[in-house]
Amino acid sequence: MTTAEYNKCVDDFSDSVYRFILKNLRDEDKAKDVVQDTFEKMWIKAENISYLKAKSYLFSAAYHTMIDMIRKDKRQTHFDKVNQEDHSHNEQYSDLNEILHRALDQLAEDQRSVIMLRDYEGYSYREISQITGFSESQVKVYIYRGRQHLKKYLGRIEALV
Amino acid sequence: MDYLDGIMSPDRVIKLMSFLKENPDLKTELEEFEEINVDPDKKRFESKRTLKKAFLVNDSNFDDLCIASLEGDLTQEEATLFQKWLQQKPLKVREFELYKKTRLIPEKISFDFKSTLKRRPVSRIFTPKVWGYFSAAASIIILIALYLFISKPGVNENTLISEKITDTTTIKIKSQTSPESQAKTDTKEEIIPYNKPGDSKQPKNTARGNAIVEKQVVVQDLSIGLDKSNHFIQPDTIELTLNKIRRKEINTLPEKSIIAALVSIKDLEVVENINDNLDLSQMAVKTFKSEILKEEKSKINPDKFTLWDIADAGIRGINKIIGWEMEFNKEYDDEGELIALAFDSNAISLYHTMNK
Repeated sequence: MTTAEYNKCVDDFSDSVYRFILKNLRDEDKAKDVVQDTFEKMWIKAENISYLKAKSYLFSAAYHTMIDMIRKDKRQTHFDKVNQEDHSHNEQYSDLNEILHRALDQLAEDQRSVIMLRDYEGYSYREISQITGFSESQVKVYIYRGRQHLKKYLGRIEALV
Repeated sequence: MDYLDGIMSPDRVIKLMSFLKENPDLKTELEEFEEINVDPDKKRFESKRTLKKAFLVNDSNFDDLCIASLEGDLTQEEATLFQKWLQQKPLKVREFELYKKTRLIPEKISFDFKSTLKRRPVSRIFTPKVWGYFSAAASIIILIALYLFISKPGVNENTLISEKITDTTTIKIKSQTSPESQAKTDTKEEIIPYNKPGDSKQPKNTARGNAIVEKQVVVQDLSIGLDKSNHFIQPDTIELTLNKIRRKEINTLPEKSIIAALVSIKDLEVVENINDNLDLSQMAVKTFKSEILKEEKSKINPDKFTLWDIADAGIRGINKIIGWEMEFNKEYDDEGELIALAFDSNAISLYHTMNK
């Protein structure tokens, strides 16, 4: 990959990588750090990465960087974890998207990641499998379970409303 | 058996037939084998349909089919059947609509720090490898220049003068003061002890053969104190700093040669004192500039050594080797700051003003 191609990747993919990480982490600073780290990693390996596979590499690197960060944070804030589910029904929701993202927050990390890769980026099961390192059948199961969970959450909210 | 199975080679079949002619009993036995023939049965399993699974939509697989429909995992036929089933189940339609709402809508989120991620194109000319070649070439040029410009140490004046001074053990500096100077200062007689060669007290660190320099005589304005007519030195004009006195190895020292000796010491110190209080790098810079760049010693700043100096030396070296007439000149302001560079050759002339 040339420097020009690398810079084009920055223009083309940094937004989507940032969105993917931000939606997962819900922390702008951390998301920016992950994006910086991810592009740094790609720059180091730029000679060995073709432009055509750059997006897949970026999402894969970003995903794994994010997982590492989440695991590190979990160790640090294990006892401070707040059960969001206990409070969620008492809050007012402005629109469906907000509700959906509330529901998304409650998904397991793996389910959330694969659903976002699927819906935001339109990746196939195989591509998600390559990015996350899960098998295709695992990806499929995570998506199915995630959707079921989201549907149940939306159903409960609608019933309340 | 191979013959019956039809996998025997023709040569072996011919041999087998000739063998059977000679053994008719065995031929009869083989013919009996040929009569045994089992035909494949053409019967079929008629209940294949019971094993096949039809695409069915029911309450138990409804959720899976909803998601499969959303993900595009259903075939066209399956999707049609699913839609038909849904039309018959209005309650399920509402559930399916909920599933549809689980699809995330991409938001417009932009990363505002793209510029920090971007990289400048790296010059392909000045790769690390090329820099390595440049460095090696520069080193070679400097070495050649050093070799060409620095003259080899020969017999200098001090050595010649010191050679005239022979056969004595002390250097006496007698005092002969004028009445005027007597009034100002006390007269002195200083004796600088001399150790003969082989003496146990002789210092071990000697320099250049006979010219042993151990202490240094600092002579201030010797021309004033030197009275050639009397062959004496007025001591009040001489400041002897014993911890800096240099001793010269002198074999004989006739009294009349004292002046010569002191003159030689003076000359020696004047030359050597230039490098006083300079560290190794400063001395190297000073030597480089004086010997190679031919700068005036009094104007040399040993603390300043730039790439331009190396370039200048390189050009001089090239001129000397191949006979060109390239010139590399520098202009300084009153404060000694470099203000301009000029390069001149038969082919090209350049003038560059330095930015401050």
